This record gives sequence, structure tokens and C-alpha cells, in this order.
Amino acid sequence: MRSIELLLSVLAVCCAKRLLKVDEIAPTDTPTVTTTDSNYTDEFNTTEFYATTAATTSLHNESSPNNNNVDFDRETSDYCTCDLQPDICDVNCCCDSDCSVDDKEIFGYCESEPRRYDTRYCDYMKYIYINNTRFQWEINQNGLFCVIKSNLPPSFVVQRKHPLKTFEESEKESIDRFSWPRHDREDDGHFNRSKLVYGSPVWSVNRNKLRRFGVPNSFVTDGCIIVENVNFLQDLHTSCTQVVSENNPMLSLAYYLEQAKFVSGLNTLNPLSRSKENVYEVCAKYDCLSPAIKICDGSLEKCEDFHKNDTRTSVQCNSTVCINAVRRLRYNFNHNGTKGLTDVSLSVNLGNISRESITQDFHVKFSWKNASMTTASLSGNPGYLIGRPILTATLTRNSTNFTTIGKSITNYLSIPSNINGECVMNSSHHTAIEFGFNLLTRCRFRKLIHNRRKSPNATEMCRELQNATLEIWNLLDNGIVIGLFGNANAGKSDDWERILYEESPRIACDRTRGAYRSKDSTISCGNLIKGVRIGIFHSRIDVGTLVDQRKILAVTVSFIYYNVSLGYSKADNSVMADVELETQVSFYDLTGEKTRKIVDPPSVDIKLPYDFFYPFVRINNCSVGVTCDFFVLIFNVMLVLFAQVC
Amino acid sequence: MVLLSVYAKNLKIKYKSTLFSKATFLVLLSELFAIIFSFIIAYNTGGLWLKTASFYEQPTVDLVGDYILTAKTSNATPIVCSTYLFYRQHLPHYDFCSIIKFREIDYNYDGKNDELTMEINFNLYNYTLDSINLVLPIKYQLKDPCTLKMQSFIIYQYNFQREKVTELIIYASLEFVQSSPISCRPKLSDIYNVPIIENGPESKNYALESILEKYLQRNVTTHLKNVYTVVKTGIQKSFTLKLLVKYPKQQIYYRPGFWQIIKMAWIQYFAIYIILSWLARKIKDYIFHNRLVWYYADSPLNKK
Repeated sequence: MRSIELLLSVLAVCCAKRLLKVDEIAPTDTPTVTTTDSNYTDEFNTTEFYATTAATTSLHNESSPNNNNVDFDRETSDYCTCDLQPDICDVNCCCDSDCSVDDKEIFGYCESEPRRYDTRYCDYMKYIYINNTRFQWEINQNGLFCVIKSNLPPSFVVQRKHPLKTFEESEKESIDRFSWPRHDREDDGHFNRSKLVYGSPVWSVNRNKLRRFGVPNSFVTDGCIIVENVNFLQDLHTSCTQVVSENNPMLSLAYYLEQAKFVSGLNTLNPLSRSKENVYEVCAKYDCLSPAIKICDGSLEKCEDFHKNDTRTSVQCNSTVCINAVRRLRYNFNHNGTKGLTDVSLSVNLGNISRESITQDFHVKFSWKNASMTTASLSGNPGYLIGRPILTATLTRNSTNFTTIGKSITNYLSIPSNINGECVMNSSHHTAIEFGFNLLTRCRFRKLIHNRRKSPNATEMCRELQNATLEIWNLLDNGIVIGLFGNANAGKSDDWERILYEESPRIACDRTRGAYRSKDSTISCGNLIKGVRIGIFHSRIDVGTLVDQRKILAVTVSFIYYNVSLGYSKADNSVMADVELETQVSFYDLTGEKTRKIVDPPSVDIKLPYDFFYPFVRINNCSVGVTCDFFVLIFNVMLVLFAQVC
Repeated sequence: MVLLSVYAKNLKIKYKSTLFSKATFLVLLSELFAIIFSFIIAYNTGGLWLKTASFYEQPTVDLVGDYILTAKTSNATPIVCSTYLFYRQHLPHYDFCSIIKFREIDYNYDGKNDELTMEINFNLYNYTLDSINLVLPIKYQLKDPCTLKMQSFIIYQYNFQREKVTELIIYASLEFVQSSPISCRPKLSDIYNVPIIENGPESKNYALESILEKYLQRNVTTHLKNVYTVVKTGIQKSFTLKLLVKYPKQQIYYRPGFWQIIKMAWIQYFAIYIILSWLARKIKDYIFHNRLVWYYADSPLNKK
């Protein structure tokens, strides 16, 4: 019914307005600002309300018109949102009543207002056309229809404008909305007398105060700026750079000796010794473990016991060097499961350092009390794990059987390391090939070859160089075998396979030729080896119920040859070889599509006594055997049955 | 008198034959030809089974409220600002940040943020910045037609050229990167809705390399694209980082559901089937019209 009334009112007005035409009325002598609003409203009786859309935003389902959230529309044309300076004309604010017509002439544009209006109503124009001139405007509404007055009921907007009255209410409203994180989480650095499990904190008693044990570590930069907590049964290796100074306590062994009392087990700690919060005046021998201090070499393997009278506990510096600085440090914790730590040893490497900076290494290792330190870990069980080294051994032949033993240099397939550009291959410096990672390394090999004869024997010297080169790769020995699985057993020859050479190292040596040219005193070597290509072929196989166990199928080695001319020094009868050696390691995955094949269906071999069907079957007389006899028997039976039916 | 054709109807003639006859066999063959060959053509021309579909949607992106800002300086001392417990426990002395200000802007008030403006200010003292890394955890949400909720990052990294930088302004858009179409199954919508940075005590949880490694293992990530930077130098002893990130609509690839796949396949199949069926019908018309096979025509004209 209301819609019909609205339509009638629209048709009655029949006011053409869509095509706007602005006629200029003759300017008055004195500029007067008369907006079209007044003319417009005088002519057409102003609309009282828009037909607005109601929007419900209340969280409390209070959408009734009586609620405080309800905002009845009212005439808001008095507001001017860009009028921010009272009694002063705001630039480009065309609705600012403080701006005169002259002021408005300097405006570049009019600030827009966030105002809602309905273009179906005739008076919407007063919001979109603003008269900034000194002229009066008359708008000829020669267009189609618009609504001047509607008899729709007053509309309202439901919105949140009611102030929150209580703090709890505001807290409730802030849920699921952004707020800065609240730092009310409990610090986890408190001692908790609970069961020791993997990852439990390790506690130390330092100056009678119980502290969580940690070692320095780097973060963001390489400086030692944080302390990394040590957790029970979690091995740790950290490395960071210290500023070298006598005042830096972390360079002195004394610093580490001070905090060297460790709580053996959380339950065993005697609560009676506790006087204040976390302060232990008496730490019983079995509660707190003092580590056995050892002063070691750089690899922390050769060690000697530390004596109380040792004077190397503090670092001493002069203008260029500091002596007795801690360079490497390793805590060895032996434990007995849930009963906690049994003993602790601290291996320290001290040395002289320059005054610039020093990189310190910290190791923490947990071991079972009775575990042997020399036990080599496997590279997988059974299949190789990605990133683990490849097992190697040398093969020795007994009179009857093969037996394998570990190599002297390394138990793993290794190639020379690049130490400051030089090729180095020894027990402490080598690069173990990691399973699954293709690798290319380069390093420089220098060797002085002396001539032991009267006249230069070029071939002999070239072969000596060749041997020295092969020695760096540790490939001279033909008895090297590779573990097929990561758990290859030294006692089982089936677990190992020889390396496949494209050309035996011995033959490669024999191929080397040399020639001496006295004209320019050089030795030309041919077929020298400058690189090794190692190919590792592997496949993922199923072992019993275990799937995808990586097995090495073959390891191949081929050489890269080159020819070179070396300057011969007649003074000391020698040549200096300087070669860049290259090692290429490639992994080839030969895993094909696995298909499960069913074995042949079971067959039953029925053997009957030869005279079982005696009157029907003469086994001895039938040339086709038992099958033939059986069909003859069936045929006979069918014949009998057929005869009976007929 | 003029005669008008006011109505017409077809006469239905039934061609009948026995079960094991040439006529029955030919009809069966022609029907099978239309049915099977339509499928073969639809399949071999490609795209029969819809495996990937896409939609456009503006995501709902909200800041979690945490942040990690690390900066390397000419001095060994880093600048580390963060809300995480680890940083506040271990690195409080390196937090030089004085102002962290941001605003998430929803221009059209549709409940989805359209833009993020952020400003971070920290004291430089006399250091020179070498590099800066900013990690902002965000909540990223898609609603229709696939629901996806995930916790992701806005990550920005910049290396300076040894000049005395005092301000860095970054303009960028947040892009949704996926390595495979997302699944629309409700069970899988929450699998990435877990924090990437674990609030644990170990430093490896917070090292940028481990955060990035863990983050990039995900199928879906967010990255900044269309990145433009303005670097300002000066003599101030503080540094200001301004970040302006837009959250535009994204094209999201998803795995369509069973009925969507069937619907698209049916449209293709049926279009081909109509043509082949018409062809088969013409062949049958020719065979029966020329009486190439034996049959009995049951015509209503013959009935009396």
C-alpha cells in the first residue's frame, strides 16, 4: 500500500530534473551568496527523511528501535567535515561557512564529504553541486522524475555508538581483535623437580645459585650474544666469535671452572641444602658433580689432566697476542637414564690468539655411562641415510676367506679437504662424501719432486708426481671396498663390494710418460691425473617389511688426465709441481618402478598307486602319462552315466 | 476452400527383429559406437576431467601482533626487536626499537583489510646499517568457495650499500603463492593454521634461516611482490622503516570436487555424443530403408 502511495506522489510531482541545466542570473552589485538550496527548498518543500537502509551491527542482538544503539536520522547538513579550524577558513573546504566568496576563489578543489544521499530524491543535488561563485544559481529541472516528498515512515540506522560502561565489557569486545601480545607468560627458567627425560633442563650450581646451564652461541651476527640452553640428552655444538680482551672473562678457563658444578638428578637434589630461593649453600657430592678438567690439543683427542696448581686458568694479553685463551671446549656428560648424570668431564683446548677476534667452539655430548667412546656410528640400519658418510674398509685375504678391517685414515669414503686452498687429506682434515649429495671440490696440490739420478729421468719424476697425486686421494690401494648398506658388518664379506675402476691406478701410473727438454730445461709429463670422477650407483630396495632402504650397487672411479710442462731446476735437481686437483662425485639413483610379482600358482601333484584305476587305466601302456589316464577315466565314467540315462 | 496445415504428427514405425539377428547386432553396434566413441574423442582431445579450477578472492589478512626485526650494523652489535619470549629473555639489550606503529586499513568497510601501513623506528647511534630483515606473522584466510585458514608471514629483506641510511620506504603487494592447487575439503582447511615460529627456548626456532626453511616447505605461502623501495640518507641517529603493503584480490587454484568434475565432463561428452548419435541414426536409417538386414516393420498404417 505504501509503495503505491509513494508512486502516486512521484507521478504527481512530475518534476523534471535529471538533465541539469544551470542558468546564470545577472550578478548583483554586491556579491551575495545564495545557494540553490534555499531556492530549491523554497520551491519544493524539503524532504523530511530519506528512505535509508537499516544496518544492524550490535553484538548484543539489541536491534529494537528503543535501544540506545538506534540513531534516528536528522538533518545533518549543518555539519561540515572539512571545517577543522573554528572561525578560520579551511582551504579547499567549500562547505566551511567561515570562507567568503573571495576566499573560495583561491581553492583548487573541494574536499569531498563522506555523506550518504539517495539519488532518487530531488534534493540530492545540494550535496553534489556546491556553488563557490558569487553568482546565484537556478537549476532547471528539465529531466525526468524525482521524489520530492515521500510518505514512508522515518528510517533509522542501527549502529554501535553506545559507550562501553565497564572494563570487563571492553575486554570482552577486544577478543578476536588485534591487540599487542601480552607478556604475561611464565618464565620457564624455574627449577622444577620432575622426572628427567629427553629435553629436560640441565642445571648447574654457580656461586651457590642454581642456574640453567648453557653455552655461548651466536645469533643474527657471529658474536657470542646469547646463551644456548643445554637440555638433557640433546647433543649441542655452538660456535661464535669473542672479542679478544683481557677483560673478556669468557676467554679464560677460570670462567668455566667457576660454573662447573652440575646437578646430577632433579630428584636427588637435597632440599635441605636449600636456604633461599634457588640458593644452595651446600651441594652434596652426589647432588652436584664437579667435572674432570682436561687440557687437550686442537682436536680435543689428546688430553692431559688439569692440576690445581696450573697457572693457565686466566688469559694474559700483550699488545699483539693473548695466551692461554679458551679456543675449544667440550662437556662430556655421562648419564644413567632417569637416574641422571653420573659424571662430567670438561675438555678444553687453550692456545695463543691474535688480538683481533677468536672463534670459540663449544660441544656438549651426552653418553650412556657404559658406552664406549670409540664406537663408530652407522650410516644407516640397514639402508643408507641421506647425508651420512659412506662406509669403506680395506680388504685383506686370508688363506680361505675374505675379512675386512677398518681403514687407518678414515672409515668413510673421503676426498681431500681444501684448507686455505691446499689439498689436505689426513685423519683430522678430510671431506667425507655424504650420501645423496653430488659434490665438486677443487684444491691446489704442490709437490717438490727430486731427481735421484745424474741426468734427469723425466718419466720417473712424472710417475713420482702421479703417485703422490693418487696418494692424496687415497686411491692407490686396490683393496678398498664399499659398504653396500649403512650397517655393513666388517665380518661379512657379502656386505662389501670393490670399487670399479675405469682404469686401475697402477695402469694409470704406468701410462704416465715424461720427457726432458734440455733446451729450455723443462720436463713434459703426459697422462698425469688432475681429477677423479666418482660415481655412486644406488637404489631404494625393500628389505623384509622395511621399504625404501638405500643400497649402494656400485662405486666407480675414473680419472681425468692432462699434460703439463714443468720447469726443471738444475740447481737442486728438482721440479715443483703445482696442480689444481678436482674431484667430482655423482650419485645415480637406479631405482626402477617396483612391481610385485606373484609366484606361480600352487600345483598339487597327486600320485595314486599305479593300480588305483586298474580295470580302466593301464598306466604302463599309456604314453602320455597320468593326465591322459585321468581323462580316459573321466570319459569312461561319463559314458557309463550317459548309458544309464538313455 | 483453402486447406491449411493446422496440425501434424509423426507415425512411429517399429522395426522388429529377433535377438540374435543382424539387425539387432547392427543397432547395438551403432549405439555402442555413439556411446564409447564419444568418450574416446572427449578424452583424447584433452581436458575431459577438470583437475584444476580457480577463483578470485580478496583474502582476509590480519596481523598477529608479533614481529621480528633484525638488523646488522657496521659494529658487531646487531639490532634485534621482537615480541617473542626468547628475544626478551636472551636479547633485551639489543632491542633499540623506539616506535612500532601500524594500521590495517579497510577502505570499503567490507570487513577485509585492504592495506597495511607500518612504521618502525629504532636508534642507530653511530652505526651504519648493513642489512635489515623483517618478519611479520599474519593470519591469512580465504572463504569462498574454498575455506583456507593459515598463519603466514610478511617477510622483507634488504641489504644496504654502506651509506648512512636513515629511512627505508617499501611499497609492495602481498601475493599468495601455491605449489599445487589447494584442497577444498573442510578437513584440510586448517592444516597450515599453526604458528611457524614455535615459542620455545631454543635459538634455532628463531634463526631466520630455520624460519625460512620451515616456511618454504609449505604448499601455500605469501610473498611480497611488486616491491619498490625508497632509501633516504641523512644525519639522523635513528632509522625509520616504512612499509606499505596492499592486499589485492588473488587468483587461487583449487582441486574441484567430484560433482564439478562430472558436470564439466558431461557437458563435453554430451556435445560429442549428440553428433555421433545423429551419425549413427543416419546409418541406421540407410540400412533399414534399403532393407540391408532382415526385419519386420510394425507400421500403424498396416493395422486395421
